Amino acid sequence: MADAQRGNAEAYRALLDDIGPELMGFLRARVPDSQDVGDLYQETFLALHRSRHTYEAPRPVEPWLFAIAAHVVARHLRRRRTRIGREVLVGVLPEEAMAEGGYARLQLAQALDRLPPTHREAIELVKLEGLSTEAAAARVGTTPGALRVRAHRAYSALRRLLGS
Amino acid sequence: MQTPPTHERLVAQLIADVQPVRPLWSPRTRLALWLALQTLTLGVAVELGLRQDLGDHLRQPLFLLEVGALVVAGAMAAAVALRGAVPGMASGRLAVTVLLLLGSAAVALVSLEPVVTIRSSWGFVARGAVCVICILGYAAIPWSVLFVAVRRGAPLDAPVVGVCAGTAALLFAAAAVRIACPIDEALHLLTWHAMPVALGAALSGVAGARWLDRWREA
Repeated sequence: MADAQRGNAEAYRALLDDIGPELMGFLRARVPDSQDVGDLYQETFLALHRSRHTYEAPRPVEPWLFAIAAHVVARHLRRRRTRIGREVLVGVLPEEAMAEGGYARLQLAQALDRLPPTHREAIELVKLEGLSTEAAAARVGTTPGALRVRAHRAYSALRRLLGS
Repeated sequence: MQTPPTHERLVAQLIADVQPVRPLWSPRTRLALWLALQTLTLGVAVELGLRQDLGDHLRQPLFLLEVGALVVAGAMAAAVALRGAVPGMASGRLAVTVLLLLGSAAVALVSLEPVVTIRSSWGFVARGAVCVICILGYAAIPWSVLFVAVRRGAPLDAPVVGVCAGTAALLFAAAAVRIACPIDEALHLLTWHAMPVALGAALSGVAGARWLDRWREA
C-alpha cells in the first residue's frame, strides 16, 4: 500500500487483486443479496481509492481496509432499512427467495441485524467467515479472549432469536 | 472466494487514476503539533489574563485540578478526533469513557467553588458574556485547525469526530479562560464556562455531520 501511495501502479494492482477475494468474503458474510454485494464491492474499492492517503505504513492493511468496508456496509444497511421502512414489498417472488436456502439466509440476516454491532461482527468473522479466534481478534483490534466472549454472547442471542 | 466479473475493469479504472498521494501524518504527530498550538493559547491567557492572584491560585489544589482536568480532557478529545479520522484507528469505548469521566470531573470540581448570591442579574450576564466571547475567541483557531486536520483524513463517524474536535478546542479554551478569569464562583463557572463548551461541542458535531462526511460522494 505504501508503494501504491507513491503512485506505483503495479504494486497497486497487486494489492487490489490480493484483497479482492477477501473483501468479497467479508461482503458476502454481511449482505444477503448478491446483487448488492457486487455494488458494495465496487463502492468499497472506490472508497479505498479515495482514502488511500490515510493508510499509515507500516501498519497492517487489513484493519484499515475492513474498517472502510464495514463503514460502506453499515451505510448500505442503513439505507436498506430506511427503504424497507417506506416500501411495501409486493414484487418479491417467493420461489426465488426460497431457492438455495434463501429463507433461512434471510432469517439469519434479520437476526444478525438485531445483534449489537460488536457481537454481530464477532459471530460473522468466527462462524460465517470461519476465521480463527486469533485472526478475527486481530482484524477487529481486540484480544482473542474478548472476542470469544463476544462470539459466545452473540451465539446465545442468535439461538434465542431463531427460536432453537 | 471469487471476485465479481467487474473486478478487472474496476481495477483498471483505479490504476488509470493512481497518482502519488502524500500520506497523512500519524495522529500522534498531528496531536503533538496541535498541542503545541494550544500551549501558545494557554501562554496568551496567562500573559493577558485579568487575574492578579494567579501565583496564589497556582498553589491551590482545586484550581490546579480544574485546569488539569480541562487540559487532559481536551488533549484526549483531540486524540480521539484525530484517530477517528483514520479508518481502523478509531479509539475504543475506554478512551471515550475516560474522556467523559474527565469532563464530568472538571464540572464536579468547578461546582466545589464557593456559591455567591447574585446581586445584579445584569452584572452576572455582562461578566459572563465576556467569558463566553473569550472562550469562543480562544477556541476559534484551534478548532479550525483541528477540523481541517480531521477533514484531511477520512472520518468514519463524522458527527462524533466533529463533537470531539469541538470538545477539544473548547476545553482548552475553557482552561485558558479559567486561568485568565478572576471570578471563582461556581454558578458563573458552570453557566458561562461549562455551558458554552457543551453547546459548542454539539454545534461542532452538526458541522462534522455536514462537512466531515467524505463518504457521501464515494
